[in-house]
Amino acid sequence: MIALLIANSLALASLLIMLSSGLALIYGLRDVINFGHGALYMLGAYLGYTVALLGGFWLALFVVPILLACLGVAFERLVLRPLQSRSHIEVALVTLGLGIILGQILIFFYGGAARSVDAPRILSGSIEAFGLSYPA
Amino acid sequence: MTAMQALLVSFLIVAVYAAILGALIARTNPLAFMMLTLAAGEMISHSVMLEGLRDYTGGADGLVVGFKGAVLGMQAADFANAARFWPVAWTAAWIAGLIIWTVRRSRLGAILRAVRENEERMRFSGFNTYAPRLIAFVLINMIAAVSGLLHVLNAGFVSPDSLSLSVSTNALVAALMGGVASSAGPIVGGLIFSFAQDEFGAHDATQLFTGVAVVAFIILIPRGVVGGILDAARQSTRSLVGRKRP
Amino acid sequence: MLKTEKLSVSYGPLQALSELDLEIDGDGVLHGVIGPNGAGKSTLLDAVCGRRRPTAGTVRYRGQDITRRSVAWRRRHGMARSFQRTSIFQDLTVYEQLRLVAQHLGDRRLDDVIQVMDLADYLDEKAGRIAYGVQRRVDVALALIGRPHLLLMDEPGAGLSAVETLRLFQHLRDLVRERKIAAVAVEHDVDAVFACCDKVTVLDLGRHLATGTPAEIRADRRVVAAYLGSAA
Repeated sequence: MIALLIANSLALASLLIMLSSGLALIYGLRDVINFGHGALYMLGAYLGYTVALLGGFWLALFVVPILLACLGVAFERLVLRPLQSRSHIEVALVTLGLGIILGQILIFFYGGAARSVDAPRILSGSIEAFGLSYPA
Repeated sequence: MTAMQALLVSFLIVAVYAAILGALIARTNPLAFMMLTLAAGEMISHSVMLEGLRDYTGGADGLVVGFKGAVLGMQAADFANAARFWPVAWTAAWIAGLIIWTVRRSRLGAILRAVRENEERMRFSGFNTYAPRLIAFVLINMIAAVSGLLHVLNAGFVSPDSLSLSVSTNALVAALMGGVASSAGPIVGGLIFSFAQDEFGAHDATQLFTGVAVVAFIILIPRGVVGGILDAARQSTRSLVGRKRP
Repeated sequence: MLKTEKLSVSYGPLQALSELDLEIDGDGVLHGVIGPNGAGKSTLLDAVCGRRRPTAGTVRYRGQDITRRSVAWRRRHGMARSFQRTSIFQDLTVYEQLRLVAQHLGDRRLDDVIQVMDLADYLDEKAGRIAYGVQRRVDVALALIGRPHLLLMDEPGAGLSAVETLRLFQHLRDLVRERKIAAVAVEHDVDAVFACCDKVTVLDLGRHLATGTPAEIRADRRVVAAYLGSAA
């Protein structure tokens, strides 16, 4: 039971680590708190779903990071640079507003129901470890 | 306990809570402070959903709140009635605005502005920078408590939604719209925000409205409506009178 | 007036100040502190004014051990500091910020400070809008309010021309003599220091190298070797 909990926690934690290191990176380098970071995470997931529908999991894994990277560049050029002279809290609030807008756009296109992506064969099935069968 | 007594006790509890929380976090830098208040808020809003407290808080279903007798000379039904309630709320808002205005013009206000500008230099000029911030924090929480209590009297119902983060962000947006540089700004902002939200609510787009409003106002009208009006007034008097030399 | 005993400050593995013994007399003394980069000059000021806790050693001010006292306490008891990177209130006018501090420290003679630092023309300007040189004068002015007994100046000449720095130091020397206070000035502009200071201390790599009159220091071979070179 404990092993299962640990495995679940590690899985969630690694997602959280990726998410928060991105946030920390932007804050450390650009001195910007991005309150819309969660919305970008959501965008990545939904884009992944759409691309996977069209071309499978591996294509999504390759294409979506590139798409979001382009979005990141656009975000920097169109949003952060013009607002460079503003105070921290103003910029942070703009990211909050943009995050909310992005969230609403996604809900508009995808609706509120949950969607799922099929895992590729290599990652489905389970792993045996510590006497426990855990879904890969 | 009468309704009035209950209100006073609740108010005191919130004041004490604010004092304790403030004592812990008033020392921190702006960013940490922001995150700590967020954390504290979320902590409270989730704690009301604990199974163990269900009898007191009603859990996710919320709590119907009613009272017998009179508060401020009004019955429960009066509070629920918008026509009879709004003078109370309006008066409370303006009294709060007046209190804030008085603090702004006082020495405490000057110290707070300076601390916001350069906290280190204030310490190096001999000021205790902790006490003013703590006092300000408790004061604004007391005002928030009053608004919360009025809300309960009016709505007759409270649920975890009343404590959600969006309540805070809505208040923030409303304040920004009116302008945070003046005492009347947030009141005006509250009006604008409520009207606008009703409009957008008709099209089921309240969240979208909030997001767009935040971005639009910060980029285009950063000092809010009242701030913008004050700036325009200042500009025109300056061009009429010419630069004054004291 | 001021005495440090075996004052040491380290930032992790880096020893910025090692067992520094320094004594500053009161009563109209302008004491310069010079040394190459990394010598620990700013750290010395930080430790004395309370901005940084020393890792070892004590700071004595007017006979009292103040090593544990807060920055605000030190200021209220007459130890004032000005900053290398100008630290003033950009959005307040010059007059507003001077008055705010003056009211707090109970100083009624604001005009004195305004006159000494030559700020009369800028009183109604927002501090963020005036020239850098004037902002630095505001920085020093904030430290002068309340008739401090000990002034700690961190590179008062930073960002100023050689002529402006010399003038500032002359100003400081006159001020110090007239008010009979002590001032410690950390500075890179060695010429201004030698011209105006009564005593000079040289630091090197966190250690005390030499203390003496400008003439003595200029002639000191160790100082010449470590810092002044042919500039002396």
